[in-house]
Amino acid sequence: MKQESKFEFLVAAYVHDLKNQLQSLSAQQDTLINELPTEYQLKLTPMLKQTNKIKDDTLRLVSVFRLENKDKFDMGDAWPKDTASNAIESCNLQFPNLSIKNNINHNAQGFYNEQLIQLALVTLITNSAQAGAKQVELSCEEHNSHSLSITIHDDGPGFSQDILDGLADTTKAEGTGLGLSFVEMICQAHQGAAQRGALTIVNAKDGAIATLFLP
Amino acid sequence: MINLEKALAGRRILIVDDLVEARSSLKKMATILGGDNIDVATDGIEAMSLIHEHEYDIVLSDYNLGRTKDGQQILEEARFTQRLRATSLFIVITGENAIDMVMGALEYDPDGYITKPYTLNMLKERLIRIITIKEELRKVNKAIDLQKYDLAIKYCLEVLDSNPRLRLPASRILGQLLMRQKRFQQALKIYSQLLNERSVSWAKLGQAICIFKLGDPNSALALLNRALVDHPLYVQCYDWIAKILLTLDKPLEAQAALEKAIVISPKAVLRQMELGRIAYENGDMVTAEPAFKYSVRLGRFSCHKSAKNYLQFVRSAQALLINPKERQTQNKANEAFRALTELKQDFSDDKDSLFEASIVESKTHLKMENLDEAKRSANDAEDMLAKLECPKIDYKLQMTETFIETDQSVKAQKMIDELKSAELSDKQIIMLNRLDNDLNGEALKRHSTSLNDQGVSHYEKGELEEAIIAFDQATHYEQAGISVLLNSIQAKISLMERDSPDKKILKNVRSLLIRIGEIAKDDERFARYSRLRKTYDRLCRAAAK
Repeated sequence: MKQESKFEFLVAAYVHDLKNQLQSLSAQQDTLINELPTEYQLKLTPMLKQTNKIKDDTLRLVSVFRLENKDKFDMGDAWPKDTASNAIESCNLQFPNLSIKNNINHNAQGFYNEQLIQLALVTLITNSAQAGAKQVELSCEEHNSHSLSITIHDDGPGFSQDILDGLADTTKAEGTGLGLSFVEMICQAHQGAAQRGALTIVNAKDGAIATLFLP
Repeated sequence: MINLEKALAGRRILIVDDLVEARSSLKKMATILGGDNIDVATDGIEAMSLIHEHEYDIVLSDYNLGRTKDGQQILEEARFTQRLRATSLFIVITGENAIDMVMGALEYDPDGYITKPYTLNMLKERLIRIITIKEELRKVNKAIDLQKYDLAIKYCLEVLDSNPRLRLPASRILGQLLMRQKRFQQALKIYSQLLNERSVSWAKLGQAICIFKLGDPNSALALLNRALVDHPLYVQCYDWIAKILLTLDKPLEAQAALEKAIVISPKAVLRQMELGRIAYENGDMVTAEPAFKYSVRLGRFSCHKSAKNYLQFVRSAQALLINPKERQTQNKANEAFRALTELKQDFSDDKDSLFEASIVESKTHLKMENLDEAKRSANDAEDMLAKLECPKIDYKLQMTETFIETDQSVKAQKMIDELKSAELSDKQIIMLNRLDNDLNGEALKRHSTSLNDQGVSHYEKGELEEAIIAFDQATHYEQAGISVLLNSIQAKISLMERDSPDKKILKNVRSLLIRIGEIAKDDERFARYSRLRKTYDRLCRAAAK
């Protein structure tokens, strides 16, 4: 086996193991919560948050690795309502005070890599929460050419002009601050017939709007 | 949308995962979601045994199940043996690194997949979507279960017309159905139309297969190679590349393609078997031997278990038995013998395989320079051959070869004589001529000398009857030399001198003298010949009195 493919196989094996561990950890936490009296359940919240964060970061790590390798991701039928719901579930745990509305139609259907888009949504919602937003709304528009757009609209302070101008990736002090670049990479990994996925960010009167275009 | 609780209630569900926590957690989740008839299996073998025992409506299987077969192989085997109806659901649970392999499966594709790590809510949503789609395609799948493929195609076309949201799953089934009916032009149209809008890996594979079937192997190869650039783990592309290269008479390249696929996915029995077969044909036993070994090991608990794998494993291993004194060679030989023992036990009703097993066993003993054991196995093969009602010509040729190799020339000669009057193909005639030459050449000479030596030894000890038997065997061959014929005559004359003249023996001596014909006076054997001839004449006169 070549050295580089050996490396890839090793990474894949470790990641696989990590995911199994996370799955099992999360199952054990669920069992524990069900068995504990309500007054003690809250005490577990920081641990649940941490597990959730590790889970998201693991998935990010794998995705970044594959995006960097220019791997093609498998695309398939996917339902934005479900993808958003999964992202919201993860964010609710991290940001319990943030109100997140899933306004996406149940029947809306797209063709994308579900895990990547879920990560993109988690990243954008996290950005909103960290910027001070109290409310986030997710919506979706299906276009004629089988493409679709998913929009995240928050009531926060909006993007800084430097970010809107593309002069900076972040103004944040915490985290990697590279969330938008990551989301952009995810969008661009989605290519359709003569079209490429894209991320657009604008400021509205009442907050920031980020739109994922998926061909 | 379906009501999940109602959809799961009363349905027989199988959960397969090798990790105990994952298994119990999934079972718990499925119970919360409404499942009330759930079985669990810890690996592929247990899963298959349960699938053979019960009729499941839903199977939820992890992809990676440790050392035994993976989730995809369970699916293939369950559908191949028709233990899982088309209307039943098979869902693969996987990390994203295996999605390429799961999503790309063209023939035995799962109904859906769930990526780890997942939560109860994620599982719920996913199951609702997958079951809803399955319900919407129920008419199609029911027709498939009833093997009414034309009807299934009609329903697929109706679904495509009325429900564009089901385009992907309906096109996938339709493409398969059309290919099954060998309607490649129509299948190609379905795949190509889809690919104009969506880059779907299975459609790329389907398109390439259709183009190949329609007579353009080079374009098909180009498409498959392009698909591999996008999805390097897409093993089925390698399988088809190998198939196409074989038709282009490029067996070495075909082998190389399969070797790549094996590195990515080593647990597929059929792929290992194909690699073994091609490598064996290519004379590359170093590759063929482990491929057949894996085929035996992986096939042990699968529907692809076959005696042929065992035989091919031993045949390819034989070529690697270079130095019988070396421990490594001895280990390999023992492995081969163990495989043959297993074959004989597990296929005890298959007389053909038992015959072939004894033949390869004999050859393996020969490679290990153990002539006695080789002869014993050859005799086992002879017994098996006699039990076959209508043995194939090839078996008789194999038997002849083994007789020659184990110095049983009389039996070999008899079989060659029998085969000479049989109807043979050109290939068989070439083989028979080769065996005939072998027998008449070195093997025969060696054997004849050995028989003659035995006869002489008996004669010297005064064991005339035994000596005559050995000389008779030696003179059975047309090629027996004058000295051998003289030895035979001498033993018979000595017997008659000891006992009394016997007309039957005298007749036999006469025929031997005729075979010798005239001997020149300057020949060193002339004196002995004359002496025996005179004694013969005297015994004839005595017998006439």
